[in-house]
Amino acid sequence: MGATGPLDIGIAVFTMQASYIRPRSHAHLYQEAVVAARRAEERGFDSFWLGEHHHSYDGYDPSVIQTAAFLAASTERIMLASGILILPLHSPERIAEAAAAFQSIAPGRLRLAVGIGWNADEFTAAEIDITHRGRIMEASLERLVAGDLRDRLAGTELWSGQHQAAGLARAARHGLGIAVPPSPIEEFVRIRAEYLAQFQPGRFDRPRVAMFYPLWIAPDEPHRAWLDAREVELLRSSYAHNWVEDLARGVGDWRKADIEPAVGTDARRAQRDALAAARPTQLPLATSATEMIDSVGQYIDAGIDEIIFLRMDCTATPAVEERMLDLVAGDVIPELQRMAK
Amino acid sequence: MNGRRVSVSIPGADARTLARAAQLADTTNLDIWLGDPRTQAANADDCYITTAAAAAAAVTSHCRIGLFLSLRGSGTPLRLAEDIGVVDQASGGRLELGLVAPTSAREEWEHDARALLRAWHDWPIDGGRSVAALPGPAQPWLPRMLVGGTFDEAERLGAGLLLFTSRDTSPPPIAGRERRIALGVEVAGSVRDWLAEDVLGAMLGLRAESDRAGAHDIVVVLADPDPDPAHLADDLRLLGVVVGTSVRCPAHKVEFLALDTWRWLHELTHLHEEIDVSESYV
Repeated sequence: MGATGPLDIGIAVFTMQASYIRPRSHAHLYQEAVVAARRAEERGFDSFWLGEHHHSYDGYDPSVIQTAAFLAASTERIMLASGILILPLHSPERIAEAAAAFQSIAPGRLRLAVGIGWNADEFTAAEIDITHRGRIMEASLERLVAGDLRDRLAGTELWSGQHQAAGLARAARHGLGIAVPPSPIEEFVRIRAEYLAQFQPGRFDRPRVAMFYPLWIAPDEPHRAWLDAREVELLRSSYAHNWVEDLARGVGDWRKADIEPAVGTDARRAQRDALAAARPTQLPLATSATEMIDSVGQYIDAGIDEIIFLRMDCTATPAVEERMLDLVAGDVIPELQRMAK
Repeated sequence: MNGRRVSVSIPGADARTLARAAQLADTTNLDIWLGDPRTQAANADDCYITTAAAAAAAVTSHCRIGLFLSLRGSGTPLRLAEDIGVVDQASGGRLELGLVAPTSAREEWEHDARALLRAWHDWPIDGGRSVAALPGPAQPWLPRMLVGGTFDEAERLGAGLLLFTSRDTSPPPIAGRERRIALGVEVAGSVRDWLAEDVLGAMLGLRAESDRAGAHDIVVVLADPDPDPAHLADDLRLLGVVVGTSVRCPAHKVEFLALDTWRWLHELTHLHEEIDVSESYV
């Protein structure tokens, strides 16, 4: 049960990036996040999601539980969520200790959605073999969900950010909730059914399914083109400092030994740009609040528990984002809650 | 020596208590250290401390926030460097580090400490490549003290030293060596009890001890804090007003200020009613 009705509503994903698209001091970004979290709380959002990555030139937040504690101490009600915490990069003891500190400050307001990661450099820097990440994830979950660290994690929700077969099975086996990336309705229905069919009570006693959904409403082609251009540039800036070969390989295929173009060559830049242009599959942007309501309504009918409106740092300007959040909070969410009753 | 800085440490306290104490410190001209300089108390794991520090940063605006870190807890040096960078940015550059040396395997520990302090610029990975722990701290130089170590170890880490007179019975000579020294003072009971018997004697003794150690800072460790929040508030008020005033003033004014501040707080006012602490974060 959310603050505004039966459907939980989240806002994602805050990453603290000082990208070249929007250069800011890092200290400013953390203060800006406080303002955003308070505004989200006032608007009736139930959860506020943070992203994790490491070693990014733009300062992408590497310590999401610490950031969550900072924001929890600055707000009163809203759930702070990781979307996604890369579990194999942390010892389970570290997660348990940080979660215990968080619970002391803001009991019941931490949700950890965990994933296995994909960036090879992040694993190399942590001296972890990326091909073992599934095994590490499993071992960590066993200790956190039902093992020796369970008490230290008391009060913390555990979710999975994985939506492929092995990840869904793991989430269901441990009784985790799942947070699904933006997916067409048919794909969402398939993922949810696969998860429900395997679900066993564990961290939760009943299944929980959330999905990220684009925040943006683009009423016409110029608005859409503007948002697209910024998003592609954001991805280019992100891919520029990740190893392009890692992205080209895709998740779960780390033994493939493609030879990538040499650093500094036009071919390498072209590869980076091609990857950015072919960005992760997104749902088409709505052209109006009504269209967004109709679209999200399909997921409500399909049994979704939480909609997480997805924005990325720098996709829009703060002023545009504020207008969009006002529109969604004022016109869209009340209607979604009515539909969910 | 006058002009000293006074800070408080409450080993074993949970994150909620630490955040409240940080708010009180912020209003009483104190700084705060989180964790345990002996790293033995409950809630002293490095990652517990960095998380508590994030909350303390959110509910304060001025006080310095020190972290006692063992580097032997649940976080690797790389993950800790990232936590420190994030919390220093979130706090607007108010973190300090207390690196607590273990009693054994010191070379390995020092290697980890050096790796942590270098991680914001250079973390070697493979093939001659390196990455960095980002974001780095907001401060261009993160103040740090070594706890339980030697002058030479401190020098190699670019750190000052925190000395405890109860354990470091004879503070090492510092002639000709300009470095930051902090004096750790362990208070077994309440601050009120410590001062009540002879407040002037206690303050003169504290000044003499810190003079002997050449200490610019005093870290008061509440080894057995009263769990009653009102009593903790009283203790922090006394530390900020009576102790802070008495160790910062010129020597010839101690007699007046120690007695006057004690009389004002202990005899003329109700201590905890003077505290104005927002509870909005709980």
